[in-house]
Amino acid sequence: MAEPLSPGSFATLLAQAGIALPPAEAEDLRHAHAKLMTMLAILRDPPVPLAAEPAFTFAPGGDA
Amino acid sequence: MIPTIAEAASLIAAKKVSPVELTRDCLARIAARNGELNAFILVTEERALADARAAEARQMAGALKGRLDGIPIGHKDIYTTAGIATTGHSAQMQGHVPETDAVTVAKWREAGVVLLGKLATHEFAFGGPSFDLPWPPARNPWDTERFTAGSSSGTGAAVAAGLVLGGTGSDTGGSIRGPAALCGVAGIKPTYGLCSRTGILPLAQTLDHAGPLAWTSEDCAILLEAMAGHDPADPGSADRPALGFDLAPDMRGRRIGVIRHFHETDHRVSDATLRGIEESCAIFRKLGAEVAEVTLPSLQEFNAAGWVTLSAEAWAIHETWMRERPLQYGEFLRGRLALGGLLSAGDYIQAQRRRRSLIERSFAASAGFDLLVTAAQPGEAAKIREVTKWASLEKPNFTIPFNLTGWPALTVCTGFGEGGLPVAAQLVGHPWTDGFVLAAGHALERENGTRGKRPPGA
Repeated sequence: MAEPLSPGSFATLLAQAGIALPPAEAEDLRHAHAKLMTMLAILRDPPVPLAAEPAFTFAPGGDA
Repeated sequence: MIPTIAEAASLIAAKKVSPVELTRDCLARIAARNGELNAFILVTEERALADARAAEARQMAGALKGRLDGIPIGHKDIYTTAGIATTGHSAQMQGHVPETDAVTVAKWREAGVVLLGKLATHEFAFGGPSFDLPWPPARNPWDTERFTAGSSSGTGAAVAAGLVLGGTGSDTGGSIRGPAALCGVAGIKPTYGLCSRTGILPLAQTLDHAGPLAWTSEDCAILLEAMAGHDPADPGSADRPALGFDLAPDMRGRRIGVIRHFHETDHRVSDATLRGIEESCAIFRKLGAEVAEVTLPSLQEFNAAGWVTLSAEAWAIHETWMRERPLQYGEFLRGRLALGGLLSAGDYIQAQRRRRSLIERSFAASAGFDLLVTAAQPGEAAKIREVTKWASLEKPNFTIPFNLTGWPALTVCTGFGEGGLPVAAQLVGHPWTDGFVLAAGHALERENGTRGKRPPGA
C-alpha cells in the first residue's frame, strides 16, 4: 500500500481543495488517502494506450 | 402471514383481501417493529390510508389499474415525494419538502401503490452506517445488532420484516444489492438507462441506477416493469422499446458463467456464501443450463476505477456544502466526500479511460454467456458498530463492477450462514436482459427454498 503523505503535505492538499475538517478527522483522512493512492496506482499500471478514450456518459449497448 | 406482491395482487383482484386491510397490517407491523429497526424515517399513515381507500374503491368497481394497485410500499428518502419531506437522511436537507414526485415515484403512484412513508438511507446514499445524523441507521431484522449494508438500508430492512411489500432503492456501487444480500431479500440494479433518475438525489451520475427491492425476484419484476421507461429529462435514460418480463423462460441450453476469481481469489467469501453460489449453479444445471467458468478483469481493477469515479462525481455534487457547512454532514459522509475532493482531473479521466477498457474486456470475456454468477457480499452481516468509515477502500466489493459496465445485476438469497443470517448470490446479465436475469432469480428461489423463511418477529 502507498505511504501516507506527511502531515504538512496533506494539510496543503486539503487547503488547496478548500476542505476544513476537525483535526482528528483530517488525520484519519490522511491515512485513508494512502489507500486511495493505491487505487490510483492500479489505474495507471499498466497504462492504457496513449489514444485510449474515456467512457464519460456511456451507452451500455448490446441487444437483448 | 406476509404476502408477496404477486400473492397480494391475486388476492386483491379476487376481492379476497382489501387494500385497506393490507395497509393496516403493514402499519401495525411498522408500529410494532420500527422502533427497533429504524427502517422508516417518516411514516405517512394518513396518505397510506387514503391511497388504500382509493384502491379499494377501484377494486370494488372492478377497475383495478394492475398488479400494483393497492400494494403498500415505501420510498428510499432520496426519492423526491410531492408534499412529503425528502431529506437524503441528512441534516443538510432536514425539513425539505419538494413540490413534485420523482418520475419513478409518479409511475408507481399512477400504478396505484399505497405510500407508507420514507425509508432510511445512508446519508445521501453514501455515508453510513452513521449515528450522528437526525435519524438513526436502519437495523437488520435478522439480528438488530447487525448491519443492513447500504445505502438502501431502510428498504432492505423494511422488506425483510414485512413492513412494506416492496420499495425503491438506488445503486451507485451496490446500494440495492448489498442490503438485499444482508437482509435476505431480492433487489435488482437494472441496466443503466432503463429507469429514470429524475427527482432522485444524485450521488454519482454515471454510476447511479434506480431500482426496486422486494421479497422475491418475481416481485422485483412487477415493480421494475412499473418503474422502467424512457425519460427525456434524464440524459442517461435510454429511448428503447419496453422490456418483457417473462418469468418462465426455458433454462435449457442457456450458458451461465461463474466469475470464480471474484469470490474465491480476488476477495474470498465465507464458506456459506461459496456454498450458496455452488448450489445455485447446481440448480441451473438441473434446469438444463450449461455452467462454465468466466474470467473478467480483477475486482481490484474494477474497484479502483469505480471508487475514483464515484468519489470524484460525489465531490462535484457536494463541494459547495462541503466548503460552506461541512459539519452539517455526518462524520462518515464528510470524510468520504473529502476524499473525492483530493482527486485531480487526471485521476478522474484515467478512471474513465480504464472504465472503457474494463467494459470492453468484460464484453469480450462474457460473449456467448446468458448470465454471470458471483457473490454480492463476502458473507453474513457484520455488527453494525464494527463497520468502519473506510471499509470500501480496504476490501474490493463485488457489486461496483456492474455499475461501471451498466449491466443488470440481481441479488438473490441462497441460504443462511453459520450465524443464521442470510447469504446471497449476484446474477448478472448483458444490457437489456433484465427480464432474463429476474427469471433466473425466480427459478433459483423456487428451487432453493429460502423464500419460506422470514426474520424473527416478522
